[in-house]
Amino acid sequence: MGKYIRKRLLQAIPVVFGITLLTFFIMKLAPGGPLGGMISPRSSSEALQRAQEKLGLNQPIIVQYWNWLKELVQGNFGYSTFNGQNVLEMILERLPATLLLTVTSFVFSFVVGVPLGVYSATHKYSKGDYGLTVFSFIGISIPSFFFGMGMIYIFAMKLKWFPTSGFGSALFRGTGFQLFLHKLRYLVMPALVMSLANLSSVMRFARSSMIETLNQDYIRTARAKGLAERAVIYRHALKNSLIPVITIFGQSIPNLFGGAYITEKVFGWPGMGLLGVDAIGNRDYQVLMGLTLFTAILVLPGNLLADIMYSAVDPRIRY
Amino acid sequence: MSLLEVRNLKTYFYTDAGVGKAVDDISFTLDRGKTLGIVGESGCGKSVTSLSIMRLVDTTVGRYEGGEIIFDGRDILKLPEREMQKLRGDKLSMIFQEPMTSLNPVFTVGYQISESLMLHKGMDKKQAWQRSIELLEMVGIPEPARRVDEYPHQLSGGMRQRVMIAMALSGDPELLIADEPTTALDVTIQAQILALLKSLQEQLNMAIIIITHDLGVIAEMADEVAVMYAGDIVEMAPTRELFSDPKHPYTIGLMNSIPDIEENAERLRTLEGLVPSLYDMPAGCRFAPRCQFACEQCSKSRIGLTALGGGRQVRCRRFEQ
Repeated sequence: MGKYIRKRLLQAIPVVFGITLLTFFIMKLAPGGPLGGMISPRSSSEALQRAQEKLGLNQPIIVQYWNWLKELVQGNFGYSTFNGQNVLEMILERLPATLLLTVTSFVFSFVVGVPLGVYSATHKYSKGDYGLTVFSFIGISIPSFFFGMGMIYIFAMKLKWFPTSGFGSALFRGTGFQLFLHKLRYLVMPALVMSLANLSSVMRFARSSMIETLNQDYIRTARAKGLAERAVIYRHALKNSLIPVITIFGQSIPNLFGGAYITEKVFGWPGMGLLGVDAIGNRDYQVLMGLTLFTAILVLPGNLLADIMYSAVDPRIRY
Repeated sequence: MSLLEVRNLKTYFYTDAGVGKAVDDISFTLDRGKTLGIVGESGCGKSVTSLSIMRLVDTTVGRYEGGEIIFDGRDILKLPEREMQKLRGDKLSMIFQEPMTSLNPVFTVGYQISESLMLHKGMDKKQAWQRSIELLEMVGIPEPARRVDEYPHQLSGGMRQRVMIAMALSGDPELLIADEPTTALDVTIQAQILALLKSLQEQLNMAIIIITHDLGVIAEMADEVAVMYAGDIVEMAPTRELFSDPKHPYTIGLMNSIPDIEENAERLRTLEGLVPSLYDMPAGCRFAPRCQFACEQCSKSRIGLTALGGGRQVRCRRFEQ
């Protein structure tokens, strides 16, 4: 196992290199360029040239890439062209809020989605199953901005159960548990909105995987042993049916760190997604590159974690 | 009193294609320590018969339409599910055709045997584990103390079937149902597994129902044979008599399709025609369309079993009085 992880980490090196290449050149292909956000029709061409020189944008593109990569290796993600802040610091500053939101919605999707999927599978073609199927199709189909704004309209503006946006009020003075409750009220809606699609797909995966597992010969064996139906489902079938669910789990890990651009924007959540949306508006190329890179690189440990989890669940998989 | 008495059992399936009479009014009895063979082609209802006795028929499509299964003096079909669970894997065990897929791939062999022991024998984990090793030894698995920790995929097909048998034996069963236990195995392994079942039967005095399409297995194992065709028992006889003097035209056909070692035949002999669909049974004798002795009367009305004496029964108009 240790050897396998080392090997995977070594394999990651060329992949990370590829990621930097793609990130950099895709950004370069984008029209406008970083200066587009700084100039006005009245800017003189000398001023433009000076700015270009200052940022090194007049150098050949390969040199620019090399310079960027050199700094990157030393942990320097560059500086925002918009406000001059260190990009990595900006990202790390936003990370906790994003993680709070994404991890909450992630845990919610799996903790709720898997049991619902199991229910659907064990009550196949019942009213409950049809209800959940309809629910999941709606969940997958509704765009998050629509769902988010609908939630704000109903639960924040009409019913006034939850605040419309943000992450805590500047006027709130409570501490401890009260502060926790205060923050929780801000978390509920964005977390639900973010969960909906993920929960729906987890549920569908868990359902079909469970149905397939329940048709296996070893399930009949478990019943022939005299096990109660609960033990058959939750002990013998669940572990087997989780294998495909782990795949979505692994695939979702990068999203945890990428944040949710749209959900965060809709709810004014001060996380990385909002940082990204603002960076797009500001033509802040450095910040966008930093965010893209950061998220893309996290795919690798995500996949590794999923592979390790496979072997934890399925003894036939050994590395 | 017999250990098992099946009376007029009917198991039907209700699907979009109609009503499938998989098991249609069959009766037989089985004494302790004896072996009943059930033989027939695919789809004749032999597996459904065994699943009915275990009450493991998928109730979303299948239903017991009548009859009784008296096991140890109690009608299994009337037991509440909880009581049935106590019986399954304990006094009433079953092993299946596919040893490759009948064990759960994500649990160790020891866990899967222990589970049954903890459930039925009230053992704790440690005792159950110890007993699992003993059971593995009993079914002839070498190095049981090491094998107990392994997962099914680390074992060969024959070894897995032995594990299945060990698991089935964990509750000291009075009746073991073996549904094609050797079909998926190599011929040499087949012989070993059959020998194992026989010696365990002697040791534990259990009754066995062996279900197979292989007449060789029947000859090897069974004291008595039920020949099934399209949901019916068409002939019942002590094994020796059945082989020496088959009565029913279907049984005769089956016997004739065994290749003879003396004969240098170009082609294997087969029974002409196909088994009728479960959803579209002939009104009279179900074998009539394939029977060389069939006459007009055969297809008119259902034919009952005729007792011939010496424990023999046959479902054929030619033997009716």
